[in-house]
Amino acid sequence: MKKILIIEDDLLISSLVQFRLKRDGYETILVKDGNEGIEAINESNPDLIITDVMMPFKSGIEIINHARKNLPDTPIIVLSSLGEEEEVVLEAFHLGVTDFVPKPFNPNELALRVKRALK
Amino acid sequence: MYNFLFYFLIEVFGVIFMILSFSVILVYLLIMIFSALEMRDYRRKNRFIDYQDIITSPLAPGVSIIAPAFNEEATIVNNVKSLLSLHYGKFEVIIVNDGSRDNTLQKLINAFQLQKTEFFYYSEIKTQAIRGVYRSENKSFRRLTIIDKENGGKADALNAGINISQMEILACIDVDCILSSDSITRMVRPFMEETNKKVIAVGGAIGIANNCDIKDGTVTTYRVPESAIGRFQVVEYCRAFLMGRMAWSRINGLMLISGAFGFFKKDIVLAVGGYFPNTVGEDMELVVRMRRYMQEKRIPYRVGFVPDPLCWTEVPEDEKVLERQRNRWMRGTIETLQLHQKIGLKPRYGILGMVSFPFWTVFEKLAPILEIIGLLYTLTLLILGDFSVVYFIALLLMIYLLSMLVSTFSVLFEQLAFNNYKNKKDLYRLIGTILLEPIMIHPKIVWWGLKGHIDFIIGRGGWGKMIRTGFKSAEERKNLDSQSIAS
Amino acid sequence: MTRRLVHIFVFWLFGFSAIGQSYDSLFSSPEQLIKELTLHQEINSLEYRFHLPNSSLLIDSLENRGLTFKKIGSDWYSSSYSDWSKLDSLQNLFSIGGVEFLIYKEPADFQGVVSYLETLNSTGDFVLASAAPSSNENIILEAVNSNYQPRDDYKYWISSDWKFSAVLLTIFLFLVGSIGMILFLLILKSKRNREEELQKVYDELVVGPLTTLLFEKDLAQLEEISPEELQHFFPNAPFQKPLFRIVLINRIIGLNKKMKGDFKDKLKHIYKKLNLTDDTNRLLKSKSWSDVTTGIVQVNEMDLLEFLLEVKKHTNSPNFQVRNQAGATLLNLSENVDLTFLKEQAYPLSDWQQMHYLRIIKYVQANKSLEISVLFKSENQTVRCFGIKLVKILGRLDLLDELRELTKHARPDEIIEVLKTYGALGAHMEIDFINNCLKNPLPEIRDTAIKVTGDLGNEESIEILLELLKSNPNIPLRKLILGSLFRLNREVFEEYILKYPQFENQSIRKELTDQVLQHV
Repeated sequence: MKKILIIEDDLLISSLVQFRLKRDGYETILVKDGNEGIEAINESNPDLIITDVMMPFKSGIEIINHARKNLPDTPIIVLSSLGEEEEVVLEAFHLGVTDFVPKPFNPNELALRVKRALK
Repeated sequence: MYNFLFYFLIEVFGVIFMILSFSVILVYLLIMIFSALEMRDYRRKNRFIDYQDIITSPLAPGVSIIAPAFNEEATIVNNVKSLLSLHYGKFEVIIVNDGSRDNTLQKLINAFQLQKTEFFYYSEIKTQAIRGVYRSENKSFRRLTIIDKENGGKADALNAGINISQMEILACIDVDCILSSDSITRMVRPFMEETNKKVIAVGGAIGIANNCDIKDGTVTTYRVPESAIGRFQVVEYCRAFLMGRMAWSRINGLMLISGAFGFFKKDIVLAVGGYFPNTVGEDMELVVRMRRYMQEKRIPYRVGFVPDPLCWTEVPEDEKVLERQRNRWMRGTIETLQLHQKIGLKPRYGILGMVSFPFWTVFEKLAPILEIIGLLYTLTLLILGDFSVVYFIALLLMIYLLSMLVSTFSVLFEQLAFNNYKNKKDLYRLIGTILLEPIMIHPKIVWWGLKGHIDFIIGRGGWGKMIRTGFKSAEERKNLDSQSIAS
Repeated sequence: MTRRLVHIFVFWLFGFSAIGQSYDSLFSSPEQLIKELTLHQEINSLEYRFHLPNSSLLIDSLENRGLTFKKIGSDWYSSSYSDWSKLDSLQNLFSIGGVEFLIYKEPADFQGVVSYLETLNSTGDFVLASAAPSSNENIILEAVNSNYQPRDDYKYWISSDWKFSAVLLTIFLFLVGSIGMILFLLILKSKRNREEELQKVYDELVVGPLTTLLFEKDLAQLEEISPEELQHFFPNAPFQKPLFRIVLINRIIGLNKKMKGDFKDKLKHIYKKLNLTDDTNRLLKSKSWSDVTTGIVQVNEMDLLEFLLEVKKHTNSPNFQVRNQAGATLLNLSENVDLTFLKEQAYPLSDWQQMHYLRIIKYVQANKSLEISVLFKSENQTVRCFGIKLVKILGRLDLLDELRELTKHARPDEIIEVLKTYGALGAHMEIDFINNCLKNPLPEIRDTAIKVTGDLGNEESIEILLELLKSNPNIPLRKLILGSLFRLNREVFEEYILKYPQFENQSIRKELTDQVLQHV
């Protein structure tokens, strides 16, 4: 079973995403801020990471950086309310994220992208 | 006859002190009420505001962050990095190296790949000589400008920054302040929101970072400082920022925006001639001058205040340092009030002249003197034996209660509005500080304030005169500028 | 001494009439006595008469006026009078006569009268009439002069020391006031704590069912489901509790903001089916601005078209938040984006409002037609400016003709916006207008025009710029002009510098050609 780490500060959003991904048969880990995110990356070795770029305590960029260093092959999907032309998002692309899903989003679409990323 | 006069004076003093105590109490009650109302409105308003918009909108104003640096080599690089990572679309960071004697400049050059440019510096506001303007070759530091100049003090450094700034809003900050990443968006909002009045300046609350956990420019865990003097300043911070400034902002009577974190409209700052370098209270002086300018031009205006915790700074926990700070504040207050004497009690200057100015004169400038006189008065009566013990205790009790209740209110206020100090133990320690403050720390504050007065009077001969002449030329410049604007 | 003075103040303040008790003797001098006596109509058995010198001439003249006299021994005396208030007028008549007191018809001296009056006073048959103060100063002086005995009785002392009472009163008032405020805060805080805890509980009641509903039911199923059935999805949910409904509404709206596609529609169905629209309706009719704004936001987020008319009423509300949100909702929800409400705004559009509306307009313009030109006809200058900014930001080249029309009677702010728009859109055909603005006496317009000519200028612009340089402009302006010239025609620029190689010009050239500054 594939393990997916979801780093998102809005609990309703993350529980929604979790619900959807569980239905597709993934195991999910929920964390609500950057610090926990870094810990979870170190400890649980996920197969895919879904993260926001703007969060309390640690910026998404740092998480992406950290994940790239420690888990270079794990796909990362950025889920963010910032536009695609936004600088932070561009920076995230530079660091090599797999996909970008802007908020507002459709969980079904996200699930499809997860599937594609894990192929 | 002299005997009679003496007693008569004592009687008159008694009456004056009665009136004063009455007004102190009245004023504090009013401040409590106003601040509560203002905070309620502010929080309600905040519910409807989406700060995301402002980061990317083409209609958001540009912001020039200006931070003077003097001998900051230990921390400057990290501080500048965190300034550059603020969440905002259109902003620049201007660091003014005010003739540091250490390696501040070299550290910056190395860290940010700076190069000396051929920028043609023109001092619209007169400043000390500029040695060079540095920019980075690296595109990711394109927001950064460094000015290297001869030492001229904080106000002079800020003026140099203002001269070179490109944006319409100036954010004048202390370089060692910790700014939360959304601080610009929140501080800019009052400028954008007002419709009928021109917002000339917006002040922010300064939090106390001592003993707190800080990560990425935000305080993650609040703890009260270990020393009593540090905790006292936490209580004072609640009183000054959450209560005092909130209340003043409600009646648009703010006279002081903290020099560590203030936003100003550039055109007005230029119109009044920038900071006035010959005073130690340059932050207060600028606000008063800007307000005065607007009153004289009869343009409706506002000075805003944002109570959100956005900026933190380490406060001195060393008594000597705190003493110097308080002494300087007192001198700054006296100087500002003296320089702008003519606005006092003039209806033409509205709230500024009729309310703020007298308040500052009596409750800030004269406070230590009045307290000392009050004490002497009480002592005299005690020595004369003509003073009942009950009476004496009642007076003391009243003053003690006053300070306690006001402090309690303000700490509660903080709890209600932001609830930053979450640990119950911290709260108890704060309450302990409140109980001890009137006895332990307040007398020192009064004494330091009084010394400020003394230093001001001593300095008056040479340096005080210099202030006035310097101010005069600043005034003239202001008039000249306003003429050219009018024409 | 102090205490005595305190008493004077007490007296001065409250006009106590208890002075009599503390005097040693009632009158210290005959004058004082006379003064007091004239204030009385009649005093028990106390009369007076006048003693006249032995002069028949005087007696005759008085007798002619109908006054009677009798001779006792060698002296003349008038008849006796009992009405003391007439003493003054009688005294005038008997100008040279002296007053003589009579007690029980017998002559008496000053001391005698005083002791008689004191006796009467102690029995209450005689009350001083002069006790009422005539002026403060006199009273104070009199009181100071009098040898007043303070009462050392503790109880009296507290009640009569006004300063002490004032202190007590102040402490009391202050205590009540501030303890009241603190209690108020404490109550507020505990209320909020309770609410927060409840919110957490409610949150858990909401999140699970909402997630399930969104994934398990499709849109058609949600349409058919009855409200009662829907409520069953939320087990134990207290729908009648206002706080629960608020949590539910906030959760639905929060999700709606971050969701896309049919999830949005599902959320809206749930909102309506749960009768949450009733809450919206109530909020819209509330008197508090924050309630109204909350209601408007709900209408906006949940596409509650049925309330659009209600919202429209608020577009000119004096409260900024209300009219801002009302305008945003109208922009968002109306079928074809009608900007007339904006055109009719009475209040100046703040930058914040413009930013808010711009985002919505950007978003809706893709599917709806947008009549920006309506804004040009507004009475409100800020609205016209906003219209011009929209042309610039949305890149509406088709409206350039209307802009030209507008400039004919535009105010300075609008001209500046138009210039910026021309610059941003590269409107070369408007260069004549821009060149004209170079000569505008208003520095703000001139400076904007100079900047724009840097990109759009022609031969004529160069000439005007060179002309401007001849007037020896100050450094910032010179920088601006040379900068535009530099971008417009490098050759002319270099020629100019060669011709006028002053320090400033050289320095500006250095700045303009600096590599590091260039790519910034």
